[in-house]
Amino acid sequence: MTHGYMGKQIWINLSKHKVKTNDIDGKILQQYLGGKGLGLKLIYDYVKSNHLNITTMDAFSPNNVLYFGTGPGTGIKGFPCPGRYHVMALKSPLTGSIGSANSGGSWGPFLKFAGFDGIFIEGKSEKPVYITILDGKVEIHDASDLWGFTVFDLEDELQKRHKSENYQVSITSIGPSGERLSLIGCIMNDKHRAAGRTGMGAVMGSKNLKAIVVGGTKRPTTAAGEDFKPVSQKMLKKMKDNPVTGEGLPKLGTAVLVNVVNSTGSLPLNNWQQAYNENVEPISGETLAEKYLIKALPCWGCTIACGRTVQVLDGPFAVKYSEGPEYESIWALGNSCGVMDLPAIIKANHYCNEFGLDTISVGSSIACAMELAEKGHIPEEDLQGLILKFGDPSAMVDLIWRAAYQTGIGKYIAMGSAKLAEHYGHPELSMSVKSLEMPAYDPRGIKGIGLNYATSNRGGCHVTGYTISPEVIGLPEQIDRLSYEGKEVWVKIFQDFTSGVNSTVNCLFATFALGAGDYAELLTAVTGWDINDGEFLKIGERIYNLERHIMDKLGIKNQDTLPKRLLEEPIPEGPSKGEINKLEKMLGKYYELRGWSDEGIPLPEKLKELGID
Amino acid sequence: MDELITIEVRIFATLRDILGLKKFPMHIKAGSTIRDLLHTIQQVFDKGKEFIKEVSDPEDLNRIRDHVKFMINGIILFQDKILDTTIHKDGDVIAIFPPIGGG
Repeated sequence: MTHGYMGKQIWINLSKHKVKTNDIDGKILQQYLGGKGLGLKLIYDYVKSNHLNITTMDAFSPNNVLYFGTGPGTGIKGFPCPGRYHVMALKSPLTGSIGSANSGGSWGPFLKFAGFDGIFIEGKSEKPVYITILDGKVEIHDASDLWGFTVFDLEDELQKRHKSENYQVSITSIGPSGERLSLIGCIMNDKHRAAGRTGMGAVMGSKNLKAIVVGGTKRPTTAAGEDFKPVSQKMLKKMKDNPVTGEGLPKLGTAVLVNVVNSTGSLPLNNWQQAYNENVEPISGETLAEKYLIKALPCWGCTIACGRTVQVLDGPFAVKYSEGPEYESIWALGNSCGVMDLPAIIKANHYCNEFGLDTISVGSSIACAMELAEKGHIPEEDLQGLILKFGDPSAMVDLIWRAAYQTGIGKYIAMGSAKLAEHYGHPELSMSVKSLEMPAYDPRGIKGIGLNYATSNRGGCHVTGYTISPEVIGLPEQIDRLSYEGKEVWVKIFQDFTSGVNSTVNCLFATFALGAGDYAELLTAVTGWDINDGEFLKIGERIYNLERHIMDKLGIKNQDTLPKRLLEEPIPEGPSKGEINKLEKMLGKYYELRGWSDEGIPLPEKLKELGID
Repeated sequence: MDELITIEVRIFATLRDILGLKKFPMHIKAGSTIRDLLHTIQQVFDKGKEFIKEVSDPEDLNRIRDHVKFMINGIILFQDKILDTTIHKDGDVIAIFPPIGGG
């Protein structure tokens, strides 16, 4: 067994209700680490050994597989930000590409404390079930009586059932959205933490899997033993001394970005028709802190503590206790819908957590519906009396309910903006890439993030390669957000680096302070492998290319682009007035740098170089 | 004679706690630098000195602290050029942020 790992993966066939466990070869771990990377490798090998035709496979087929994975740093005290896990699916029902999402809280560490590194799930249970993985023991339970529970009620019930005197338990689950196969349904854990993107909750729902409960008394070890301490202290000091991880995020959380990004004229407004809001203050991070913040809340073992607990004491959107909303959620449910009402956003975010909806995708889909309605593209009978226009907080909150339970127009919103806009004859109004709704940075005003959105394997995603770090935040150095020069290099490095970090299953916020060399040093101390910064980036590159290679098998090619609005419609006002994104200035150079074809597919020599067969 | 212009200074996050303001107009000479602007802030506000201390490098008050961000009309200024950057136009918006992060 390799240090850092528990040495056991769980394989569950839900069609047969069979459970087995095995260890993973150390060489594979060193090549793919864990989380996203290992998940991709296991999925790829599964497809090959079962000779699956995945191009035509439905995402809700029993042949689709889910992987819940931790990494070598997960659950290790003193490892920076060790509280996350990653979920992968062979096929996302939203994008048709690979499904991928990541979450914090305590579930990832608790899976390791139960004695396992990951869970590979195939097949489909005939009846609703949930799984317990408690101190080395794996069981499948009937969940017929739990089907229909919201995330919050379900967690309360399962905590009661599986409470132990010896350890705490954590639960990952789906709400009504996942049960109803909403394409933007997500997987929730610790009530308010979401593996949000690409509809992973729907894949879980399609397998009749309601929840996974984990906990135990086991602990991962490090190869360095006592000598891990100085390495850990060095890294944690770097994070403490860094103004962003040591001061900005702990004090202000993520919501502070609302004013920052708006000040650059790159905060999408009203379904990306504009990108600057002169009156954004009511939904800013500063307002959140002043009026609704209770306190900061860290993930397991985290020293940053960027999470926020909030309350709204009175009014129509009163909430006694909630967590978040994060920057992206404030934007999607707020600015994107023209809603300048923070209590409404907090309430909507709370409902998204309770019902298991991805806040970015549902907020963006509601914004898309608002534009469709304002332009007269939605028949009145579909609206069932709802007056849908930008800036209406009640309508926005109402639509969260409708999307969760798929009533009225909610059944189209629950399918994401691409299918919604297509249904009403205007696919150009979906602000998505590969059908995944883009997050809160307009690439007309921040050029590199546009190349990242276009080439992100999972679709319109910022965290695949967060070039906002150099283009806006100024880390590791400040670069010109409006220039195209060299952006292909930044995007590639960030995507490869992030793949490595996601496969170590570390929080991306740690990367504001830590570089590839730091991760190599941490991995060497934990696992005993002798790797350097270049090798860490090479692991990331291997993972990113394997993902692309599987996408090729899924039939996803020639889709690396941006919505027409961003390529052709200049930002009408604000600090980025007149800007569009000239993606073609970057894309060809990026493909060349990557060793990919003009269709965005890794060339055979690149696959060979990376050891992908 | 130097032309007088009116600019708007917007401050964010924890910097607001010091001055007790979100934004304020300032009358400066066209062509003034950010250094001049900060000097004026120091003179005008009771807590101006505290503000300058917060945005300056603790080891060198003639340098802006790492990751404190200045924008002029949405253009982010490069760290080593902040203090010498000039402000030219009436109505220019100067935004000042403490270290921030997230996403």
